Amino acid sequence: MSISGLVYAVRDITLDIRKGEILGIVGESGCGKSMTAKSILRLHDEKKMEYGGSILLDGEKDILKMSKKELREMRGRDISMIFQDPITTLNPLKTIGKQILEMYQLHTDISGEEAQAKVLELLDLVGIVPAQDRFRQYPFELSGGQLQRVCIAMALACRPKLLIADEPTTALDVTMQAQVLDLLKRLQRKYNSSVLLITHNFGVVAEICDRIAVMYAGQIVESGDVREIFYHPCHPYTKDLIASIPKTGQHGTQLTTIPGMPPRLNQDIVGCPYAPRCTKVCDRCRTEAPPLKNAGETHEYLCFLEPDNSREVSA
Amino acid sequence: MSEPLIKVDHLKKYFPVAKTKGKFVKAVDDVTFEVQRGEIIGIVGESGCGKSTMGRCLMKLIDITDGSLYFDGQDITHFTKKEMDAIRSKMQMIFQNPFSSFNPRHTIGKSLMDVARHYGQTKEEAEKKIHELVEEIGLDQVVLRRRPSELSGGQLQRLAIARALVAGPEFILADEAVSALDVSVQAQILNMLIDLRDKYNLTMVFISHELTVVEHISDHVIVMYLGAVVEKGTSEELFYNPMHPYTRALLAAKPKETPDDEVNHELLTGDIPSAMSIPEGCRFCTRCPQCIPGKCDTEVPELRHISGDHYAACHLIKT
Amino acid sequence: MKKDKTVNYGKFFTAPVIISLAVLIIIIGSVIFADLIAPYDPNALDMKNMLKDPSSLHWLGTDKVGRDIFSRLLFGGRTSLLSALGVVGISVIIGVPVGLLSGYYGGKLDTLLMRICDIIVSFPALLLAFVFVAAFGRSLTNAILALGIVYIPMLAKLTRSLMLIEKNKTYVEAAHSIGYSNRRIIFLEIFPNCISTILVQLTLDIGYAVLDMAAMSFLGLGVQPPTSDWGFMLEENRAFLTTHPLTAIVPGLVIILIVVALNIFTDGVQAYLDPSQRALPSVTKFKRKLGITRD
Repeated sequence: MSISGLVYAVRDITLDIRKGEILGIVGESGCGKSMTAKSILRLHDEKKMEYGGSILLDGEKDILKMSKKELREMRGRDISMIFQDPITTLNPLKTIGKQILEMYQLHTDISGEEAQAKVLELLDLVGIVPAQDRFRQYPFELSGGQLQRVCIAMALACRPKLLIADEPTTALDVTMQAQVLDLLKRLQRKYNSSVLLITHNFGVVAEICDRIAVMYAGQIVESGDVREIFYHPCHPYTKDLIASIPKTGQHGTQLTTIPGMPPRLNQDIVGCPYAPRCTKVCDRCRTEAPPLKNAGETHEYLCFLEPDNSREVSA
Repeated sequence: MSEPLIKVDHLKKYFPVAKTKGKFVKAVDDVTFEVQRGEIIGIVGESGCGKSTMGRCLMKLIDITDGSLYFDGQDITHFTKKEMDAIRSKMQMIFQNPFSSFNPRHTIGKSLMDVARHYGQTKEEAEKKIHELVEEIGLDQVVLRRRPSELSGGQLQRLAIARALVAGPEFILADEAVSALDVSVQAQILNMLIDLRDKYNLTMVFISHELTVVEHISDHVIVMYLGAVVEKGTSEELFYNPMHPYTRALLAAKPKETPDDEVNHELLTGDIPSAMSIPEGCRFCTRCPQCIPGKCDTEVPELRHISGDHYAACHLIKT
Repeated sequence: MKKDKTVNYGKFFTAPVIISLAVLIIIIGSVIFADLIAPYDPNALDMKNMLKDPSSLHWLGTDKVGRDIFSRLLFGGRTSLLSALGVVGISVIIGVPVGLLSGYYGGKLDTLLMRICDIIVSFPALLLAFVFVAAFGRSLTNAILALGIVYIPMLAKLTRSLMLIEKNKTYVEAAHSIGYSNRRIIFLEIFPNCISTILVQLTLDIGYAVLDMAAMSFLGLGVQPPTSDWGFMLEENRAFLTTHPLTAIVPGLVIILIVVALNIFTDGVQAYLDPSQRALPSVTKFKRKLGITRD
């Protein structure tokens, strides 16, 4: 059977990332969170993909309407990205210093010496010391955690307005994860840049995010301030997801599970995509798309349930 | 206490380093522990700490360099493949990546059937057993006609558990069995493992790098660092009263569970040293915030008894 | 998002595949039924009709001793294709197990087998075959054996590299943990996963074998007169290339045609197998496509 028709990886998403905040997108695999992130940089092969809607940078420039040249200039300078696997992200044949240096050569006019000084400063900042020696090392000589820090240095070289981090710590050990998250937060504060953090790990979100958007089946089902979402989740999916995480001090207890599987992306969705798995489903959910509701100033969710009768303290 | 199902005694596994003679990667270096019947033991540690190699030694998938391994009172350290056949059905394994742990060519039904037949069950017995197990793991019988590429990770991991149970094992080794899964699926698998343990009185070794998962499922926990056990104890003792600086650092590095969690992030600096050049003295001394120069970097700390089943290998612990 | 047109999501019967398949079926079919189709005895001499141009009696004309070229082509094809199959068959029977064992066990066995392969590869293929035939006598069987041996290393190395990839996958480790024997793991667990790639290589090899057998016959080391094959026909008739070009061009064209058709067909198979699904189109999948199954 061939895959027929359109595959909607991302359906009608509205998202704004404010200056100087860390926004986390959480969701399970296949929910479209990476698609969303890559779409912002238009990293998809446009022969295979079509975009609709608009992505505004600074509230004016539409990334979807940019020419190839504008796009190239924008990438790395205004918006940059770090990926899950630092080992394959970096070019194995070039020294790490040279790879960071290239960022300056591409996007700025500063002289070689100046750029080199900046690279050393940057390496020092991300804790790749002694910077002088590390500058000349090749990626294989560094560990995964160190490489991810190099990637962060590279991404932040041109002080981008937005840094997109796609599962930046998933491939790392806990101790390395803590280091990388700490660094990310510190640098974000220092440069006052915005960060879009994609992850499936609620712990990572709790650790550094200011706001969260929860994705399911290509839609954002709930978004809001990190504390709001953690302590007063309104969408049943968010609640179930948070409840299914094993927590300290609950040895051997039954964890909440979500029955069934997320819908396939090429399926037509009628009504709420979560309806087949939802415990609080009603007839309306299966036929009508749920409305976007407010549960507080910054807190929005996509469900028929009222915030009050679903508002209970979990966690 | 009754006789343990598995006893690991000063187990060592060294891999020779290609090209350099006489140099070894000490993947597992002098590890001793016991697994009592019906309990779940968690092994935690960062990547490269030797926990997976440890698991492979337990399953006798690789040869053991030194030390001994007892299964059900029998010394199986030097069992040949043939001799292992007799007890293989009692020890089964679940792997990290559900997508590749089934032969992509065979239907799931064939894979399960092959296993049952291999352990000498008749066709009817096997069919009945597989039918029951598929029901038990909450899947439709249709999955038996599917190939791995047609199923989701969660379904496949459940079937991997079913495959492990077909043989009617006493012991199951789960190597990062939930690490590749989404949280909601992970919860299903964890619940299922605990239920099955109770139902079949299984003994399990659960290898994982995720601390909360290990704490959730295990009765006893072993913390490994660079091939050696640095601390072991009951799940409660270990997570609420960690003694070894490495265990403490691991717990501190764990991300918060909610945004307002008070977590004291004592960040570890540096990386795990290479297993080819293990530091002198205490293996952790290069990264330890409480390292005592002159002692920690020269003397190897032995496992010291703290209380009950709780042991830690650190010079700071006074016995 | 548009459906990607450059990647074939599982449609097997694309235009090139259909055309190449048709060509293959016509050639192979007519060669098989040569007895029924051929108007003349391929070896019957007819001195009155030497070097005739094509006519209604002799569709492709006759050669220097008046034999009907069309008939010779059909019967020659039998020899050519059968010997090519023989060559590939020998290389499979020896090459695949060598590759599987060598890749699976590694170590000294691997070194030994691969060095032997290297020695065979280091000689130019045809030269080695010539030496073999020269040593053991000219005959079709020897030519097939010689080429078969020459073909072994490539297949063995391909199989070995496939084995090296497969043997590190988790399902193999799972098989070990269950306690399956090595033989079972190699031949029942891993080998089926290598088949699709090996199959693609084999169809390519058949094309090359037809060419190489033609070259051997052309040099007089393959078939012995009066039997013919395509390469030998080329050789017989090359003297008349200027005066009666068709006599030599026709067998040459058929060789080109079958090799090209095989290549295109293989490309189609590869495009189908590689990108989206690695499994061969199983019968069920095929049925589902036709809409016969319930599933």
